[in-house]
Amino acid sequence: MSLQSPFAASPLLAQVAGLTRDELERLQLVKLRRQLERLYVQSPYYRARMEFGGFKPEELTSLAMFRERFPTSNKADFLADQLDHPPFGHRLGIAREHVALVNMTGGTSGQGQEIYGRSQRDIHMQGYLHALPWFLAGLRPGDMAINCVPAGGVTTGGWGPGEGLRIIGATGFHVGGTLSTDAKIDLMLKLGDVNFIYASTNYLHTLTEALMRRDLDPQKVFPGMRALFIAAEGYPIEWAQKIEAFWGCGLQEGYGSTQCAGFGGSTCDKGVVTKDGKRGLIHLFEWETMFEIVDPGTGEPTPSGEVGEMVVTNLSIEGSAVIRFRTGDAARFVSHRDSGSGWGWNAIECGTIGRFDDMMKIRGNNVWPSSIDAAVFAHADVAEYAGRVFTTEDGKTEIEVRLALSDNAAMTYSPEQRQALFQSVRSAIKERNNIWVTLIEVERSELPEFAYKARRWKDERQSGYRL
Amino acid sequence: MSEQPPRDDDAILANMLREAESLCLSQDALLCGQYRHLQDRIRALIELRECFQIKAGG
Repeated sequence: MSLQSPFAASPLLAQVAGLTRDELERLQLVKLRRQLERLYVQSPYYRARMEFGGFKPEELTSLAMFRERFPTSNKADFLADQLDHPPFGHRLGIAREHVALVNMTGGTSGQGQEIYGRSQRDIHMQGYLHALPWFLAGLRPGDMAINCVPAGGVTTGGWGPGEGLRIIGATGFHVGGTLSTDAKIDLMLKLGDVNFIYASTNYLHTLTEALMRRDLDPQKVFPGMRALFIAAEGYPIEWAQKIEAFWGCGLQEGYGSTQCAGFGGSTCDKGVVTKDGKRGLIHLFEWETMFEIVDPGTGEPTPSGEVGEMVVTNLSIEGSAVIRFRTGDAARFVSHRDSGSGWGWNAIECGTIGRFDDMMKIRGNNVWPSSIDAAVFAHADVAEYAGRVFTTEDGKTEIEVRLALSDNAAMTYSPEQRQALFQSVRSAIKERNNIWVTLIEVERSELPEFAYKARRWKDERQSGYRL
Repeated sequence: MSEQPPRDDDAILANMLREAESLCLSQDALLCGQYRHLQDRIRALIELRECFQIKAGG
């Protein structure tokens, strides 16, 4: 029996799908004003920002006024607030004794970890903001789900998925970081009727490689699989098409973060690739989280079709809520008018979300690791790669990419096939990023495996200038 | 067969919230945190259904 559409299965979803843009923005304004009224009383950090903007919450008459008058915050602002008022900072906005879950950002930026105090109510909301995109993707009460993202710890990504699966009524196996890839596959084979997998893009690639290596056809061994759900990293369309064909089910993607308290949007039930082979869209859950996509230099709204920085405001989170937080995430904005969904929700292009602070300036070009990922992994016989940018002794900038072939290609490729593949990879990188790289083949075992977010690039140019 | 009245989930949740708030007044230190957990779950459910009120002109 085919699965009922999520909008037919849930009157709540049908309702949000039926909101006009005006109705959606009216709902946002109601929730935003309530949020600011609460924070004006309970958060000295945000009260100071409203005073700087010269308005009180009850004077807020429009979303445009909010965008004009309320100053943005960034990671450095939050870290300074935490340092001055440990541990949560003055932005906490709820009584400390009502903090029931402490989350921290991953610390991968090297600047420090933001700390977030969540209430019992927020824990449900964080669960809901995971359950919502997964329900849209096809997960239903009673299903069996495999969570390949490491669970627990201090991150939102460690706690949100478990809560999301629990509140949706699914049976979750949280095997990320605790079982090897082969052990995960063995477990899934024992379970058999697995319906849903949540993994980072990179880990889904690893899992798929392992199934191929073991000559296992997921369509035969997991016939009940409804959806694969990925997050965190970019990928080429060709890869997504191959994944869907191999697994025989839809591939869906979400955009999420600690600041969003889960997922801020997803491809819903529409898939990451459109019927005509183009990139799909992540439709933003704007009734729970407000998004602005802005020019990072000017702060002005980005026109539809252009890349801008995601700025996030929590409408439904009370503990350590973020208000106009500059994420540093770079996404291509697609207005609700251009999204083709018929919904009032704005969208961003999926598969290409990068980081402004990951951007490398190489020989005058803006280069994002996600863009190189897309070029390299468009080649199905590439298993993994690692790159570094460095300065030679004579002061030139060089880019080296160490690349490992899939097991099958490594064993069977002739020297001519290797040369052709390497030439194709170099050309694809040049085409997307305007840089030529030096390619070196290495064994797969020489490159790391990533359980969550891949960190493939090292910028060693600074050390090249040491005297 | 008698016709079922239409469900009003919002009214049910509002009643539950009132009951949960009463439970939170409990003097049992082992239970009061759990009652608060229950109360906040209901608050979250009420809030995530708010979009119905906008369509209805609320």
